[in-house]
Amino acid sequence: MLSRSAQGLYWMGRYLERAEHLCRLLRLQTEALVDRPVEEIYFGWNRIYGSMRREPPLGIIELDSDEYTLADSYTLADDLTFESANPDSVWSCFALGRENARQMRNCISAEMWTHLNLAYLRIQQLDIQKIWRVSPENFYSETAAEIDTFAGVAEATMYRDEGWEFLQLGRVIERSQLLVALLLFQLDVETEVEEDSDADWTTLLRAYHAFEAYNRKFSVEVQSGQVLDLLVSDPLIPRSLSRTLDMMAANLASLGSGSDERSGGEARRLGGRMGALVHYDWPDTEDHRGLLKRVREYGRDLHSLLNAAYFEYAIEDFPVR
Amino acid sequence: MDFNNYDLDPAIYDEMFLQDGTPREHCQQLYETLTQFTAEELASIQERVARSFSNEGITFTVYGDDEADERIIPVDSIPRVMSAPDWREIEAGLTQRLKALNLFLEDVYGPSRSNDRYGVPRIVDDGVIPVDVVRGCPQYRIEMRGFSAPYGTWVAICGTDLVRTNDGFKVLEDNLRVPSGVSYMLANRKTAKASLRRLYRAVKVQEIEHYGQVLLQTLQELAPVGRTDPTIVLLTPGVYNSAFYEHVFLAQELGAELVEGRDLLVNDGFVYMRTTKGLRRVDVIYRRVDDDFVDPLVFRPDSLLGVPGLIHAYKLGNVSLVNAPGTGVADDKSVYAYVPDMIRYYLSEEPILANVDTRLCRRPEDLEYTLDNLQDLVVKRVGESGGYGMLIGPHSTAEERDEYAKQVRANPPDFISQPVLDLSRAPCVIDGQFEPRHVDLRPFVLHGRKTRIVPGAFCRVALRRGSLVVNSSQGGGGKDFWVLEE
Amino acid sequence: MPNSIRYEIEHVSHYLYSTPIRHSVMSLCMRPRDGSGQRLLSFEVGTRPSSSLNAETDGFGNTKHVLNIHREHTTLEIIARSTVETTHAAPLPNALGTGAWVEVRSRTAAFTQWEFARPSVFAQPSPMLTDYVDRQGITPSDDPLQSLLGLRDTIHQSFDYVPGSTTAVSPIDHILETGQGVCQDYAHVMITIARSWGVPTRYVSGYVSARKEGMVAQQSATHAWAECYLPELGWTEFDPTNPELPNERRVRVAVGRDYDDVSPTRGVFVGNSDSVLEVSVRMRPVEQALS
Repeated sequence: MLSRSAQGLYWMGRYLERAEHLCRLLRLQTEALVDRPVEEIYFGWNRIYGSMRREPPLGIIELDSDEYTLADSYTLADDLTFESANPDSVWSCFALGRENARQMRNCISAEMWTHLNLAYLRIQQLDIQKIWRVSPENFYSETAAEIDTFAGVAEATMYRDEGWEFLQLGRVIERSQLLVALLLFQLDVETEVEEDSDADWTTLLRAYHAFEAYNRKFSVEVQSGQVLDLLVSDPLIPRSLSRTLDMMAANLASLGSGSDERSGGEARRLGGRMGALVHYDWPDTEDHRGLLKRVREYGRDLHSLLNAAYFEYAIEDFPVR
Repeated sequence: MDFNNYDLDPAIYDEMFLQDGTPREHCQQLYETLTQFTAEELASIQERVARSFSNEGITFTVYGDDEADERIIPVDSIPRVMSAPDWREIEAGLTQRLKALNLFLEDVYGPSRSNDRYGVPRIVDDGVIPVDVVRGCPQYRIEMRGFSAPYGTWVAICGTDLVRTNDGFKVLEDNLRVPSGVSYMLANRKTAKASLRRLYRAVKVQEIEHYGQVLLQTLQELAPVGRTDPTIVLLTPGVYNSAFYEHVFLAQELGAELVEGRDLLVNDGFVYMRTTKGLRRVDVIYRRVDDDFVDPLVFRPDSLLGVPGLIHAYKLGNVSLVNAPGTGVADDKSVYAYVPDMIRYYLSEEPILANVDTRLCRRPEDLEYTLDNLQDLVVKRVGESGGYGMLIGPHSTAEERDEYAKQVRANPPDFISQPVLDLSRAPCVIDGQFEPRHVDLRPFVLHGRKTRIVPGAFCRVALRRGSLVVNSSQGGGGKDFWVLEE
Repeated sequence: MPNSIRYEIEHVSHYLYSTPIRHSVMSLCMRPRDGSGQRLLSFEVGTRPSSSLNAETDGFGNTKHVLNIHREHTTLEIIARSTVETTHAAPLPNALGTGAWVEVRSRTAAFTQWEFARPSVFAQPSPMLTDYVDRQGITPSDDPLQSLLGLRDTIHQSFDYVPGSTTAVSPIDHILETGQGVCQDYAHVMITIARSWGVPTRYVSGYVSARKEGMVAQQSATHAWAECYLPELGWTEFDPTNPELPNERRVRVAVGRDYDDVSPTRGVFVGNSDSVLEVSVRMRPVEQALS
């Protein structure tokens, strides 16, 4: 397929995954506003911004500050949801994902386009005031559900050509990077304060639909090491790192070599190495942060290799006419 | 719902009713169906039709002062119905017209009969069309001089605007560059079929859904010699183009890649596209990029939308461009006035479809007539399209006319004038009532090595009461158009 | 004086890019024309890095070559070599005679001379030009030929030939304002004025052998002048830069409305880079066969 289309689908996958990820975090964060202690709310905002490597518009939120007002959360939620100047806001990611879909409309199914377009039209009519007045949690869970449904519609209707693989590849690469960023943020906080209760691992379990699984496997008391282990290596958690990386390896394998065979091959090997880190090295290592950082760096390298192999490759030869 | 308040004007042809208010024979069934609908049913049909475009994202873009707006074209739910004999006349007329226009373009640009590559066209030499009409046209492309289009097909895709008056059909404009609107023809049919299922089945409408197939066939016929399984692509200026939706749609219909200039490159006189598996040769380019932007080596050097070297590959015969660059000289508003003469000159036939009586302000007597009768005429700028830069005499104020007259006097060759036409009207649903609105018709003519016309058209409607402007950028809408079987 | 001269010409264009660029596509207008008083005996063009080169004919009958390089490069060298034989033209008559203006001007409505009788990109009338014409007292006389020769000489005398004073894309206002320019500007001024009189006039790019003392040419020996279409004579050359130079010392490469139609290289490169172009032209007369 056309390199630009493949690249567009890849980015569409990344943007939609990012929007969904943020919606899941924001749903839990706005739920927390109802009954959680102020420190936890602060921590939640810092975690979202920290894992995105962004500065909140109000400046860094001090954990001990008691000037907390609901208005701050409103401002932060607006920045993360509807602010078009914030390229990582839900709206920006959704709009970019939809824009890619619009441009690549001939590469996706009509049902996918219609679904995404309707979801876009719905969000377009909303603003922070409107969702805040009713129930922001609902908005976020509905939007996350729209993207889940989109994935389902894609699953059911999209032709399984290269385009499909690139779309999925975008989603899983983004997913693995977002999870790693979140975990690294948690671990960094833990080293700093040396008290795992502050780090609120429960919310992570919820964000990754892993709370029940955790209870079943371990106990009702949440311990950071066990949560970390579950999110990284449990192959049954739908968005766990190991599962995500397995999916990525499968996508890379079915793509085959691109125009630049060397880069294509390297991309596949790198995907394999990322999987191996989680499958084989994780259980034995003490240095969890180091390993996660390596996964993060490999992910970035993989992105460049995809460019070199499929999207923006250098021209070596011209085909026989 | 009844037609009791439906307004019939003897001066204006009504597509559905005879002067005495009885439905035309071929509209009988439509009439009965419509009158059997309750107001609620009609409203719900209209609502569903309107919504379907929005849901599918069938949009066009309007550029305002500083931002671009994605808009939905308003759609009316009642089809305009035409009888088979009327359509046969249109079909024959359009075929004849396109044939003459292609001969004209070959004559204007191609190697001349004196075997001098840069000679004078026959039709100019023989005094049928004045030199200044051709050479004074800003769309004349000197870069194409000496070139002969493959199979003589300069225009392979043409969208002709037709109107109907009490005197019959008239051609309003030939669109020979990158005509758009065919996606609306097909989308309107899809929604009309879904909302008027029983009626559609009962009246036996000629199918148009094979348009994509016919277009594909046309493009394949124009592939470079020896390319039996040609790679066809559609070249779009990109997502910011007002017709981007249509480009996506047509690429899908054709099963062709939708490419932008940056996806293509020229090497050793051949065109390639960049795919995930490496470069692939391209044989036929259905380009929706204007001449000026198609190749910065030859036309505007600042264009980022085109492909450097594309015209070179085209001239070498290694790729086909559809339509050919330079065709704008044949759909210019001044050249338009000579199309009937072209038909007589090249084909020795009488034109089947009439032109609108057109006066060219470049001629002193026509200029005088135009200035003397501004309040009764439509005056158009030669270089403008889409309903811009126009004066509609009867709808203008004295100041507007004075201002316009100044512009005309300052540069007469830039203007033409035509009588105000009483475009035919067809019933539309307006605020829950049937009301007549002016309509025109844009059928699409395809010509690879032979002419093919799908029996359909994009029917445009001036939705504002009394308005004669059907352009979508100026408040116009669309409706489906049915040609009945023989 | 021999009535024909054979020249060997080497025209080298060297592009240097500040950072590597990925794609170059260029149209070259370097092949001398064959006919109208000169014969093209040989022509070859090549590039470093290497590229395929295909010829095509443009709308004015010039031969252009298109080159393309789609791998990273930081320099691009284009070498064109030609051998051309020029022939001394018959001297011009003193005048064209009565009624010649009518005949000259009638050609402005001719299909094939249309574009040469109207303003073009670099031949645009301007208030500054009107001013110049008034100041120099330039007015056509009863005879078109005499008028054009006079115009040519006035332009020659009223400007200083200063290499580097203008660029390839300077409008005529530049030379009119500063009084300094190169052959291209001289030609554009001549073309604009001659067209305003109703004389179909075209731009000629080429080379000049200017070794004779007192003759000027752009240092590299590329040159530009004008040709006017006159009854009986056809396209007739007027060189406002070197009015005295015999015609056989000029080699015609291409004709067009102005420089924009016939620039030796016109191209597009993809890459975020600045480019510097160096041009060198060598032109030398060679032994010719006895005729």
